Amino acid sequence: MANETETPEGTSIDAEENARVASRRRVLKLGAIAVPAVATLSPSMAMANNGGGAAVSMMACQVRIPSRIDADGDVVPDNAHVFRQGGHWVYKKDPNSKQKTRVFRVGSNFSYSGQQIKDATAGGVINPPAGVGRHKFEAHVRYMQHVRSGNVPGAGLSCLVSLTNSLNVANI
Amino acid sequence: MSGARYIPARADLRVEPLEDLTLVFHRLSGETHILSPEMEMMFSHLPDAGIHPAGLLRTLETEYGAVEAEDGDALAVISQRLEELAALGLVIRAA
Repeated sequence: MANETETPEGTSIDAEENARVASRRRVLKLGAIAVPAVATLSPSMAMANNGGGAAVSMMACQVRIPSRIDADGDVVPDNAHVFRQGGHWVYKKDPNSKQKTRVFRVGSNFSYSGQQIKDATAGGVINPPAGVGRHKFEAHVRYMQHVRSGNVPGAGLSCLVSLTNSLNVANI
Repeated sequence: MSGARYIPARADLRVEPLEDLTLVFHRLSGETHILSPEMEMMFSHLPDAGIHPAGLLRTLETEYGAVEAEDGDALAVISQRLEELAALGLVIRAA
């Protein structure tokens, strides 16, 4: 990178050839592993330092919801047999039990914005966003609570952390 | 050599190159990451289909002629950097 030759405008064939030779001689120097190569600005940092930052990042961040969540807020395993019964999608969560657990499905790129979650859970009352049924949204909130408490790895964790105060609906 | 393949999560990202640094906004976390030039170079050379650390080293060697690491082991540095990107959610580690 450092040895890059400058090519003047209106490059002649010779100059192009020189540049090609020079570029072949370039050496990419990688820094030591111990030297940090990424710095991160996170919404929770913004919140800690400046209340104004949190409001902005809350609207900006998104929490993706897996395509199949059961009524307990758990992710339905890929290999689970999900079928329709009584107008609902269900599966046997415990293969040894006859009990069936309802499954809520969404498209593969479904997500809520931080603002949607904040609005939908304002004051500890669940008020699902437009187009999302109450039971489905409650399942999604349970899922988000699992992600937040670290029980399942999930995307959008720091978005949720920044929403901690708004997601105060532990009693659903 | 690690068997993991790394796939860039480009659909979840907005990448804004500045002069020497590159800002990457990750929509899912709301986090903004500032990549060093070296990290950006590795990230931008990841094909959409994903690549193994050894494959990425070959790509960079083809482009630059030689890749040297301060620690002596370029493959180890590349593997480590890809792991860091995976931990941030900027790339996905596939088995």
